[in-house]
Amino acid sequence: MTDQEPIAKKYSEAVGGAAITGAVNDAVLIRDLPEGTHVRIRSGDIVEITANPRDGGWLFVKVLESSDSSRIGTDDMAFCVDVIDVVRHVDR
Amino acid sequence: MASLVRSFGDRSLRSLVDLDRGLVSREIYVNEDLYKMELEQVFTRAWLFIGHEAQVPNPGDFVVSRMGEEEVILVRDRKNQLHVFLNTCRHRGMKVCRYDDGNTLVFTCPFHGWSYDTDGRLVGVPYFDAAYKGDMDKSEWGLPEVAQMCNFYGSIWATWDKGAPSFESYLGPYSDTVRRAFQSSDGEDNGVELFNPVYKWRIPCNWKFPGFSFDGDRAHAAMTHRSINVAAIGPQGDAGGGSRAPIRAPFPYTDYEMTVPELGHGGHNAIYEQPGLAEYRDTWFTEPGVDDYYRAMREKKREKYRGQYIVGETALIWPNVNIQPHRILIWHPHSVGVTESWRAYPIDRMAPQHVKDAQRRYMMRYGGPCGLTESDDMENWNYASAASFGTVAKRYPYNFMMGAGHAFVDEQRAPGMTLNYEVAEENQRSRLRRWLEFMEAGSWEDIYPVNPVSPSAGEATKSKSKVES
Ligand code: FES
Ligand SMILES: [Fe+2]
Repeated sequence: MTDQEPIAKKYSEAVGGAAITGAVNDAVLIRDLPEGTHVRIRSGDIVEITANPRDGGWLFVKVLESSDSSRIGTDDMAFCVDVIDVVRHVDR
Repeated sequence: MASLVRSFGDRSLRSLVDLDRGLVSREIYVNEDLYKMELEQVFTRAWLFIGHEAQVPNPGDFVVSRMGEEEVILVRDRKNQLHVFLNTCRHRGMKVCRYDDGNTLVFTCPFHGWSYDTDGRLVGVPYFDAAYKGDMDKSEWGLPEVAQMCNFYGSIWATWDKGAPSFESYLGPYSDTVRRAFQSSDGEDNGVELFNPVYKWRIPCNWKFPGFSFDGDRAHAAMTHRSINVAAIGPQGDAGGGSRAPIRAPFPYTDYEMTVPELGHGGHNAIYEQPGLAEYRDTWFTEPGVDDYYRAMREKKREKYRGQYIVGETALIWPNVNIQPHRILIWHPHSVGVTESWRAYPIDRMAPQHVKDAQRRYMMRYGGPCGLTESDDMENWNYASAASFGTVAKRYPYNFMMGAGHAFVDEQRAPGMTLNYEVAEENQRSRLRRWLEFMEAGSWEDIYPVNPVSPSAGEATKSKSKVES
């Protein structure tokens, strides 16, 4: 049992085992998500998009909510397959 | 290198290049092993032209350029610093940038998604915590950056060799020429931008055909360019009999082949008999309003250079770029028999649009892939290359004898320079000499310092050159 297995397992249950490859046709397409959008990432954190390089791979984010309180308020990057859900849309 | 020496038996490189007699084996233009050596010995060491800061004015702006066969990215990072990076992912080699130019926050590799900040740092690695488990230090896996970069009055140059001398030392007496080539036409430093995009096309010849001959082969012009010399493509149309060069006011000078053999640079340059700049002579008869602009700019520049002698307007900077006030010609090695030609055209940044348009039209008629002058040149380089690869053809050396043994120096008027009659092959022999030195050298310590030359060509001499090749 490795440390990331619980997360992968949880996600696999939800999307049918394709978490790592991102091979899901209901994936969140991040390329055009505007700055200010809030998304949930695989760890469970809720983050706000601070910059979108629009390469479809990565988002620059700030952590808003996390079970690890030391992460709240920090800057991070989120990889496309780790973006699970959009929790707050903003208009372009 | 080893395979070359073996296959050539006892023929050392020096036996292929006999500078005293002006005889050069065709092997150095057609041999695959020598070509591969050049990529290492010449193109990872020499200072190479990358581009211009005006191509990347804002944070995140980038433009893809090239050093030897390899793509590099000139980018302005978020803190406004310029960088030159190799365009290859440190993971498994994919190009991290597949656009010619643009603006970006990061370079994200399309293969597995490694993502690099514009300052080269690896900032994003998918599954980093879960899959690498702390085994990899991201700070060790940034984009490869050149060993030295120089912003020389707006022009950007770089080398992969940390042992290379400073760029200004590398230029030697031609530093003034290069500086002035990036001035606006009123003589203000860093006064130009480049037309976008840069022209790029491939021609079937070894890079040294254009690289070693340009601005050093005046003898070709009368024959090669006979048709274009009488076709009136200059801005004046057919006024005064037509010419491909703009009209200039008379100013006493003598033309020379001028070179710094120790450094490999040189051009068709002239020594003026008097200081200052010639007055402006109207020449843009086919483009209304352009003379008004250039005349006013020239007056400012004449004021600035009053009493000073001007040194060369153009130079082939070793190994593969010719710098002129309105055009930059670069010949990238692509394979032993293919060159990727690039043309960048500087234009006064503050010039009104009609002036920029007129200059662009003239440059397009003149040079580039479909410019008439360079079409003439390409015809010769391409067919000469093709006719040099043959087994029998390779037995016959090229002839660079013209003027060999007749060079002279004029320390008073042209310090640091070697001169020869205006039609000579002195510059080409200089480049061949520098080629030999680079190919034989173990490091920069073997090839620099050379006989030290003054960084500026002194007060007494001076030159301009004519756009010719
Ligand atoms: S090659 Fe670039 S991420 Fe793998
Ligand atoms: Fe695949």
